[in-house]
Amino acid sequence: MSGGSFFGAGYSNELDSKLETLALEDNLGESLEDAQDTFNDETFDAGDSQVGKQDFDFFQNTAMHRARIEGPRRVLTVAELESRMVRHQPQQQQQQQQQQQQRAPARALRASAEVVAQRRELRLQRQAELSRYDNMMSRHDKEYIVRIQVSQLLTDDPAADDFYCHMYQLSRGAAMFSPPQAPAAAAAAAAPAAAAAAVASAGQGSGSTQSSMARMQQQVQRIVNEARRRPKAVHVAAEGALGKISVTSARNPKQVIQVQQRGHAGSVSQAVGAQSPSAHDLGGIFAGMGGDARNPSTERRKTLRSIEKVYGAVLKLEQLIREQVRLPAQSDHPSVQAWISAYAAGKDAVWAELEAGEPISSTYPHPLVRFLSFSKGKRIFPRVMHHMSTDQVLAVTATIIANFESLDVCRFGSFSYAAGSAVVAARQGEETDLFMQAVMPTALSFLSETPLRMVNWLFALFMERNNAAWVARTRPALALLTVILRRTAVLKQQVDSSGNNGGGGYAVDRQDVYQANELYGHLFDSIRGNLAAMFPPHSSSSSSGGGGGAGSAMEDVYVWQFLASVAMGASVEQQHLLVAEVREKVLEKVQLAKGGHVAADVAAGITANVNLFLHALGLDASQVAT
Amino acid sequence: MLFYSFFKTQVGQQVTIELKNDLAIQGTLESVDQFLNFKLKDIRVVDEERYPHMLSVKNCFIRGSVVRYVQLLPSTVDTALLQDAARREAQSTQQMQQQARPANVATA
Repeated sequence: MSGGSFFGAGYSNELDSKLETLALEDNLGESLEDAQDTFNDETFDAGDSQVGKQDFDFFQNTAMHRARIEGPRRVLTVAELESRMVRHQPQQQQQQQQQQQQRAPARALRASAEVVAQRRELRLQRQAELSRYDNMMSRHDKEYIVRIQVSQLLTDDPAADDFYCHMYQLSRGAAMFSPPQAPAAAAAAAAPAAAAAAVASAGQGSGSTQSSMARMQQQVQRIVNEARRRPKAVHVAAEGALGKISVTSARNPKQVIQVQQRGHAGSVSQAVGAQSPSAHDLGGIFAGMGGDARNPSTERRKTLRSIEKVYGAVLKLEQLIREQVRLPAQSDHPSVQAWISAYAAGKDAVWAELEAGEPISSTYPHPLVRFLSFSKGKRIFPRVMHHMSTDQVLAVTATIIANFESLDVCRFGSFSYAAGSAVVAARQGEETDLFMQAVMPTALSFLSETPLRMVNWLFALFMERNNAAWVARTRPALALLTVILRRTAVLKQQVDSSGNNGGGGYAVDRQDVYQANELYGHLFDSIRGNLAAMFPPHSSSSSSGGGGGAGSAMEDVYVWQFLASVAMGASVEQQHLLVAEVREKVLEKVQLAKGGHVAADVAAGITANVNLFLHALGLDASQVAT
Repeated sequence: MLFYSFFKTQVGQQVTIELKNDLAIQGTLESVDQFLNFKLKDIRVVDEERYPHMLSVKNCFIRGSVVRYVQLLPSTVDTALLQDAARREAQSTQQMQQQARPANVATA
């Protein structure tokens, strides 16, 4: 008996009226009193003796029963129907004939009286046959069925069950189906209300439908609370019965596969061998590491498990944020207190799971680094950071900087690593992009808003813990260094322009400037001699045909930006050194741009990139003699 | 309820439903229900020569249990949101199982 109720566009108006009357009823699939159970009255009113006879005419009996019940509205027999239609027909026919005569006199020949009469007879007969067994179910019966169907759809927690649809509609601006007033109201009456809402808004969207919707929502809410009070058992076992009957509904459908739960799902003891799982991370970051050195796959699973825990905690936090709008205004209300403590607890849970508090940890690689070696770890990172306090963001940034070398995008991110296979290069590119997109912005925006002392501290941390020359071959490191150098330059300018103290509110000390310069020199010395290695490998396709070269020609933007920021802070000798090293690259690029082998816009792009660097030195690409 | 919720967002989009009997039907998704039965509007059979009986059919109702694949447009799917929804579903199922287990023990 349980069927589906349809959610879709263009359903008929009847559904709405049915659901409206549903709002006035309270029984749902429970057994009715005898007096109320009118389901089979047509038969049973006739009496057992009559029904038992072989020639009991069910149809006749139904018609009589209905005539009895509904009284004045007569059920026409076929003959009566015919005669009524015959009475109406001549009028219609006359009109048709007039129109036809106006259009085409020739048609009147075919529309002779006998043929018309024949066709009418056929039509009537067909109609009569088709509608012979109409109206078997009364209105009450149909409502009964609909009530049962709707009750199957009702769920305990509509907000959670309909999560995807609801959030999707919110995010796409709810173009097609305008959700009812508040998210709470919409969530409270997911399936039936959503169906009726779609129907109503697709159909009319009039005032009356809105009020019936509201009434039905209230009714559904009452029904849900009722259902929650009396939870439907998943299994029903009668006393003394030898087995259990499972009650299926929308929430627990019939399982195709029976899964045995043993205590703790997915126990770690079934670690497979120590192969490097190259499908999931770059180059097996877990192979041969500290921590649980025996088993890299164990480590992997542990990290994956903690990523999932972080996801769960973040989802809870986001749900709390969504609920925040519904909280009452006064801050001493108990529910507000509860919300605050729940939110704080959630944040603490996330922070604990992230293990980013200690920049230096006993296990290598650092837990946070392991976390970020998976793409889903990178993806959840900005969402986590959104909820964190500034101190926590600082701690995380410091951790990342301190362990920069061991990040997967750095360890396995250089071009020589990827030179062998295209697959690895592609994956590398993906992971680096994801890292730049998801993880770096948090750290970089933090950097851009901190005083010089902090920048210096982080810079010093970076130089101390990482081999600058080695790590400078990777894109994230260059991006980080670029931002550090630029920020330092801006802050130094503040000192220069406004005497002793910086005008921007941060007291910029002479000492800080001195330290910044020291660090700069240190960096310069480290990367000197390796500058050419920072560039992406020259791909052979860039010299032939414009289109193929566009991508690789633009790739080195970040290198030129870095060189520009280095040049900004360079002293004269340092500038000379810079130019000496990079000269070949510059020449090559300028030749490429001017050579005419590449498309005009690509050439313009290349020139712009080179100019990034040259302008910082006070030069220009046009001055380069080729 | 995740798939039901997911397909509700697909209503109105062009989909191609491949059935277990190898018939592939392309059409606009008109409605879906809790059993993932689909109603399609303005359909076109993908391999027309093999199914001439479908030439005149404009709308159809497909029972959910006979569907093998549903082919969608990737632009209509928000994968990050889908991941979140799947995680929530998994969490709530775990919770329900944990609650149900003591109940089973009681009736046994």
